[in-house]
Amino acid sequence: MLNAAEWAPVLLSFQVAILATLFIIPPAVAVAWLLARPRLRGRLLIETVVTAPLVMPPIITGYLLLLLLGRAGPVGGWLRSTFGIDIAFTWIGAAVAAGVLAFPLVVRAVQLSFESVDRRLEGASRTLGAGPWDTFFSVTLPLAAPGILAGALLGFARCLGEFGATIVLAGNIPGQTQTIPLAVYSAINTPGGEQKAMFLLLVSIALSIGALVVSQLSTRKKRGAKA
Amino acid sequence: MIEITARKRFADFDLDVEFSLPGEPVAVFGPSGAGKSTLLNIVAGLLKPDSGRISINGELLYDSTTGIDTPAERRGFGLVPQEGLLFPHRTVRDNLLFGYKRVHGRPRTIELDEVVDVLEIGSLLYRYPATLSGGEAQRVALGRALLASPRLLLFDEPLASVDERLKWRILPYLKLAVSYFNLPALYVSHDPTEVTSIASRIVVLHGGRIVAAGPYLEIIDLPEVYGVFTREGVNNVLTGTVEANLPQYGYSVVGVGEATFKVALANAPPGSEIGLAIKANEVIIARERPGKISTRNVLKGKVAGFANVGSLILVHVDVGCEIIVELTHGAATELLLAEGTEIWVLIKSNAFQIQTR
Repeated sequence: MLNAAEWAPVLLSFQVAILATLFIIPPAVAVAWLLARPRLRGRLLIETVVTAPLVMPPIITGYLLLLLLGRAGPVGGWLRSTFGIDIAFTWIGAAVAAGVLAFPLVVRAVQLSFESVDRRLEGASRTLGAGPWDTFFSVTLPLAAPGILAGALLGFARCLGEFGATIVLAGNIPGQTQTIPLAVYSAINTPGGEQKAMFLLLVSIALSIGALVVSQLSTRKKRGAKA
Repeated sequence: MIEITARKRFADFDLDVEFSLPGEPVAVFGPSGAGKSTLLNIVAGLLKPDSGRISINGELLYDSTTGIDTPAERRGFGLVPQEGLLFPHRTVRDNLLFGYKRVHGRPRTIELDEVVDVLEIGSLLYRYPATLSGGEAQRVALGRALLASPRLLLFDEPLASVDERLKWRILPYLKLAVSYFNLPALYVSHDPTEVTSIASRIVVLHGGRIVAAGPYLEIIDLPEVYGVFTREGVNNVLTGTVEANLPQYGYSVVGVGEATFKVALANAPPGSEIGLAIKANEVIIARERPGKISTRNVLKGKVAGFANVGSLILVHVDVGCEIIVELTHGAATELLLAEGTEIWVLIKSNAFQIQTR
């Protein structure tokens, strides 16, 4: 019924969202753990920087990323001259844009799950001979795991839907950077594209709701285990 | 010998203590807010004092003047927290072995089989903490602390969240484990029954200061100590042996020292050890032997001593074992009590709280 070209945005969206999610999980876990500490110096600064992409217009975030990562930008120029890697107007750029925009959402979810871990369990672990890192990996992280999974799925869903920053940083190149939202945008601007737009719309709804349901199931299971 | 000096200042409260523990259990008693948990967390290494010094058998663990501060994981102090605090994502067995696998620089002295036997938790090993009752969880928490082969056991109100009836069933396990493994212990609680039954020496903490230290029957005469104990209910805590169970009469006979008491039917065979607690204000003193009376315990005794504790008088009575009785000044005056006066002591059989395994 549908040819490869029509599936291309779906596959690309998956590729972009998976890469972005995998890359933001470790830093998101680290930042969320920091923010979950009751006494943290510079909390306001970290929170502001992390939350900024959530409140700024995505197109502005995308433009800032382009200035930074474009061929002429300080980071982009260095990456190109040192490794020969281009970020702007490639699928990696689409992943960077998606990841940056999803980051605050993931941090929020993971921070909540860290905050729900009873700090006294960490104390008990210490007295039983586990050092701070051992305690983190043996007690804190496993207890926060369902929340981290939920955060990852939330981030994944957010990455699938990224539009504003992506179109600025990665462009809208069919087969290269055209993810589902960009393909929908193109389809509804093209006469006769309604059928394609409808197909992508249904796929998009199914994916988003699926990720959300799994995300909520994983936190609900955790609540059940705690009771 | 464990020596502890610690000072810590909070916004609304100062902790300032200095005491030592011999190689046996010591209880720290005090009302909530006295600084008991703060003290325990400082000893455990989970909270840093402003200044102080903590040493065990000459080994310095904390010293604010030289900057020595051994982290909690290297102190070798086993903590039994309130509510057990078992790791919810691990089975009972994995909880028990958590510390066992992490014994640093000391030989392991306690093995899993031994702990499982003493605490009778063999049937729980593959269950998750969420499925345990409060009493089971506390036994597992104690087992987990023991298996870390600790040099000192720290109990932080281990029975505070267990209901009263269950408390009496768990206490014997705690006592048995402490004596079986022959460990020094610091037992923190606001419950007079617990502290008097677990330790012979009691340190009374009030407002962040130690107001008294010594055996229960000695320190209870101090008005400030008595005041603290009264609010939580003053108890006589006795250890005896079941002599007979008499279901046809509805009571058991228990020997304590030279005395025998009739108590509500105990769920323990003759010959077994049993704990009894009786509130000091539930004991009646008479100068003459009453005639026919329903009270099952009518014991002859002698006044062994008095203490004036504010509006009340505390009478120590020897009935073959020493018990304390709380009287009003009026009652004491009318009875013309003096040291050595012969009296009769009346206690209802169901006034005793019974502690069996």
